[in-house]
Order: sequence, then C-alpha cells, then structure tokens
Amino acid sequence: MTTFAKSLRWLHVNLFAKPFDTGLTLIVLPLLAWVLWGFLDWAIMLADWSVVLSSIKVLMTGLFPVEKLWLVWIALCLIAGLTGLASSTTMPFGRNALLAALALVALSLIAAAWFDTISAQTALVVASFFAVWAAGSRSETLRANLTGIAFGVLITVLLVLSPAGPSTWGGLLLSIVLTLTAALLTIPLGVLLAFGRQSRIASLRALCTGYIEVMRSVPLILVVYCIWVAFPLVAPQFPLPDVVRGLIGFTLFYSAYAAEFIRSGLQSVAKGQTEAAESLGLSDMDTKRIVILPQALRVAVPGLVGNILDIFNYAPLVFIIGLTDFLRAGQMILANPENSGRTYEIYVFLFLVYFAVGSVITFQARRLERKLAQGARK
Amino acid sequence: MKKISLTLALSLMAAVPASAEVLEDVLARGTLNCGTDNTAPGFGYLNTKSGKMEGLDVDFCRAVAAAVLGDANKVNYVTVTDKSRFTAVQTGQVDVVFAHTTVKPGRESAITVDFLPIMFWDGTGAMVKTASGVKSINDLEGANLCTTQGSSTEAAIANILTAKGWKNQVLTYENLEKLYGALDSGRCDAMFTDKSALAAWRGNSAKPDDLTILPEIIEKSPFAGFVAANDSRWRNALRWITYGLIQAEESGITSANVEETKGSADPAIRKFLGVEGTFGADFGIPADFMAQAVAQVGNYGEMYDRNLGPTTTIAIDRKGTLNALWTEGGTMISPLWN
Repeated sequence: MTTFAKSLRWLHVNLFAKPFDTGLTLIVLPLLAWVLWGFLDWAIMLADWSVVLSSIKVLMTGLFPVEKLWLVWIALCLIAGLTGLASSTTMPFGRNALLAALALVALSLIAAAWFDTISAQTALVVASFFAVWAAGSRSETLRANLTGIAFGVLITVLLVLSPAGPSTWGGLLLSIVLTLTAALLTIPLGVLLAFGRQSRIASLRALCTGYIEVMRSVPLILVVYCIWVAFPLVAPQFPLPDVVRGLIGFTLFYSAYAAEFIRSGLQSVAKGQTEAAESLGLSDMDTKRIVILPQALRVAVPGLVGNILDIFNYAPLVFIIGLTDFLRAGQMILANPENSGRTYEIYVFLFLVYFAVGSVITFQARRLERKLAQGARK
Repeated sequence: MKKISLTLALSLMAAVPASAEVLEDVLARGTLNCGTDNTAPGFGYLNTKSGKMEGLDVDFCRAVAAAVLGDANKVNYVTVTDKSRFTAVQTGQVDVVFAHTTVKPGRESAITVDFLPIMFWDGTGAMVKTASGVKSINDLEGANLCTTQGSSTEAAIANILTAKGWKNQVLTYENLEKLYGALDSGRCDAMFTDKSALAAWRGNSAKPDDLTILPEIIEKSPFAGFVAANDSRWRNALRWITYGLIQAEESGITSANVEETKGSADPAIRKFLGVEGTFGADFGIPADFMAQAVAQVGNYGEMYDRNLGPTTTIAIDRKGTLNALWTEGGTMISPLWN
C-alpha cells in the first residue's frame, strides 16, 4: 500500500503538480506513447532483423579476413580488460557490481544459446572484463599503473591486429581502435602543448600557440584529408596505410583541443602552489610533474572525456579517406541490392550501438568526476 | 648558363613522374591495388553473405589482376570516394581506379588522370507504364513529363521539347519517391531521372513488368576506369585489356569455351588468346593475358549480365542501348587485334 501511495505521490509531484504541468503531461505522454507504439509495432511486426544478423561480421569488423577473426577476439579481450581496470578505479567491485556481473553473464549465456557461433568468444570477453575489474578492485598496484597499462594495451592491440593488414580494419572495430588510440595519445601531446604555450621560451610559446590556434580554427575533416594527401607527397618512401594516416590526423587535431582543456586546468591551480613547491626546493620539472599537473588534470578531466566522446562520434568522417568505419559499414551493407529495403533496420541498429557506447563513456565520466570531486574536498 | 640549368631542372621534374612504372610495381608486388567504391549497387558493393566485393567495377579489377598477374583474386580493394579517387591514383596509393567515374575533359586536362576506354554508359532516361504502349521518347507528344526539382534533367527535358516543337506539361516533384508515386497514380505519363535509379525503382516495384524503361539516353554519362597520367606502358596495357574484354564478347569467347577456343585455326583468335604472337610480351605482361581474364572473369557481356543483367535486381536493359555491342547497334567496340 505504501508503494502505491509513494508512486501516487511521485506522480503528483513530478507530473501533475500545477495545472500547466498537468496540461503538459496530458499532451506529452500520449504523444510519447504513440511514437513508442508506432516504433514497437514496426520493430516487432514489420522489421526484418535478419539483415543485421547476417551482416553482423561486416558491421563489427568490416572486411577483416574471416580466418583471422580470432585476432579481433584477443584484441577485444584486452580492451574489455582495460575497461574493467578503468572501472575498478571509479567503482570498486562491490556487491551491486557482483549482481550486475551475474546478470550480464546470464544474459550472455542466453545470447550464446541463441547465436551458437559466437558464444565462447563473447563469454571470454565478458569474463576478461569482470576478471580484471575484480583484480583491479583488490590490487592497489594495478590501479596505480593504469596509465602505463593503458598504453601497453593500446600497443598490444595494434600489434595483435596488424597481421591482418590495417587496410582490412573496419566497422565498429575501426571506430574503437581509432577512439582508443587518439584518446590515449592526445593526452600526453596535450600536456606538452599546454606547457609549451605557457613556456618562458618565446619561440616555443609561439609555436605551440600557433599550432593550437590553427588546429582549432579548421574543420576535422580538412585535417584528416590533408594528412592523407600530404604524407605520400612528403615521404613517398614510407607508404603508411590509410588507417595510420587517419589515426595521425585525428590525434594531431584533437591534441590541440586536449591542450586547451589542460591549459584551463593549469590556470586553475593557484600561484601559491608553485611558490610553495619552489620554496621547498623542488626543481622546475618536479614542481610541474608532482604538484601542478595532478591538480590541473583533475580540472581538465570533464573536458578530456568530452573530447573522447567527440573522437568516437566523429570517427565516421574517416570515410573521406576511403576507410570503412561503423556508419560506412552500414551504408556498405545497404548498397547490396538484396538489402536495399532494409534501411531502417540497419540505421536503428547503428543508432542503438552508438547510443550504448556513448552512454558507457558518459557514465564512466560522471563516476570519474564524482571521485575526483571527493578528492578535492579532503 | 642560367637557361641550361633551368631546362635541366625542368626536364628532371618532368622525368620524375615518367620514371614511375606502375606495371613494374604491380608485377613486383604480386597484387593489384584497385580503387573501387563500396556503396554503389551494381558497380562496387559487398556481398554480405560471401564477404566478397561484387559489381561491374570490381569485375574489371579482377579482370586486370587475372590478365597482369594470372590470378583474379590477387586484388587489394582500396575504397575510394568521389573526393579521394583522383588523389589516390596520383599519389600511387592505387594502381587503377574503377569507381563509376564519368569521363569529362577537365579530368584529363586539369586533374590529369588518363581514362581507359568507356566500360558503361549511364545517363538520364525515362520510364512509362507498359500499358501506355509508349516505346520511345518520340511517342511522348502531349504526355505529362515529370522529374525531380532542381535537377539538370529539367533543362534537358526543356531542350527536347524545344527541339521537337512540342508543348507538353512538365511537372516537378520534391524527391524520387513522390516522382514515382505520381507515375504510379497516373498523374504523370513518364518519369525522367538516372537510368540506374529508374531500374532500381522498377526492380523494387510490386510488378516490374508493368513498367517500361525507354531505351533512349537524354544526357549521357560514360563511365571508365582511370590511371595516373604519363605512364603509357601501364595505361596502354589496361586500355587493351578493357578492349579485349569487349572483343572477346564480339568473337564469342566466353569463360566456358576459352580453353577449346585456343585450339581454333583462326590466326586472329590464336594471337588474341596468346597461343601465338607477341601481344602480351610487347606489353610486358603474360602472353595469355586475355585468355586468363576471360577464363577467370568472363567477357564484357558476361560481366554485364552478372552485375546488371536481367537476373539481377537492378536489371538495366542492354539491348538496343549504348551499352550493346556495335554489331547490335550499341557503342561497345574494340579496335582490331592484329
């Protein structure tokens, strides 16, 4: 009875508090219900989802050779493990996490029973996520070395995938590899650029400021295209694959943005901190490394995470240099005359996956911000 | 002295692109880097079931690989877009591009690529209801002609009306869907747009036989492959491979009968298939290059039927159009092989 009373109260407070609210609710709710009904009616009765199932390999990995798909699974396990470790720093493996883990394992088992072929590998990826999450929650050493481990995982992932040839990377795999690489490389580059912009050496300051301002005043697609065109002209003896040139373009572009977020962090650190560190006899380098940067990064984190989300969401722009990312893979499937009538199914699937990945990134960002805010209050 | 050094510098600069021998690179590498689109139905798209690239453009890549390297599967498909295709070939990232590219003078003069022979004619055409009995654009006097708003087709229709002195009503619609709806409801007697789009709408309609695409092309749009400029050896080899695929169809050589045709007594056929003569050696490629291309990929007619023929969902009519062989009233013709 109390639950009923509670829900009535919730309804009153949130939806029917004032005449205007009531009116709005009466308009919006039926509209939402109508849209949802229309969508569900289509999704269940009319849509033919078999096109997503039959093309799932292309959507996820593009033209990656089928006989080397096990490399992708290894890379996925590594990335899942890294995500697990990152999760352990923001939310240690508690009881709720355990419950969520069990629910997920059950879900993946059901999924495994459904689509037999990918069952074992999927279970392995999920398992590595939870194993590292649990290990990270227990071990302080693992958590402390997250940055180093992240770079190690990135290099291993690139090496593991390279036997198939970078030109075959595609689909969601390419989007994720691109995001991971650019996200990790932009932070050290951004730190260097931000310090360079505040440097006492005028030429260095001018160079860094110029770089940041130029990158921030041109569109991403232009930078990616220019790097793609310029590389074979400047260094024809080093034929870099399209994917690598795309990665370079994204990294160069977004490191300018990362630099600005970090600079705002640097400027937020009180001058007294530098003076105190200097009076303790710390060298200039140590002052920056031990005292200033940790405090600056704390302020810069929300912006940097936003940067990562941007990288993931703008990854489809690599189509301009002929790469097949997740969105382009969907369009490639629709170009097959057999699938020409399945436009909505493919786009709804793309939407759901983009939404899921984006939600995970923003969710982790919120946890991270909350954790950093706790540290600041101490 | 100054003049001499300037001349020397200029001739050095000119020598750089000419020294780039794509053919040598391809033979040394053992694979062909072929630029294609991967979102063009009928020309370059992925067959999701087999995981292989398919389409008319893709088949040309395969034919070149079969001719030059002896194996149609030795192709590395590099996806190119409308924006990147010319740069990709100029910077040597791909050896050749087959990506439904329209031959235009500026592309050879200003952008400087060398086009191969035309492999497909697309263009604006008209579709009518079969029941109307209209067989040609000449039968359309007084009919309601429809097209999409703001397209160059509108001007093309106006030109036809002026040329013929007709006073037809011309209606324009926002998009293809509404245009098709108008034809379907009888508001329009003929809809005008790209032939490949007409074929797609016809193929996806409930009863394709109720609709007829008229044979004429109003605004022609010829497609051809292209290579980087100033590399005659490579360009000429590919030019004659393209011609050879057309010649094979004319001579009746197909993937099924190419082996027995090698035993033919006709000296022209024997030279064409590399049983005798030095066609291949002179180009710097294997003697049986045309035999390999036809055996592994098929002649032009087989390639067309596989990708755009009546059994496909696109089904672009070939008979009586520019894409038919010259012996059947079309434009597909090869110079003499002797």
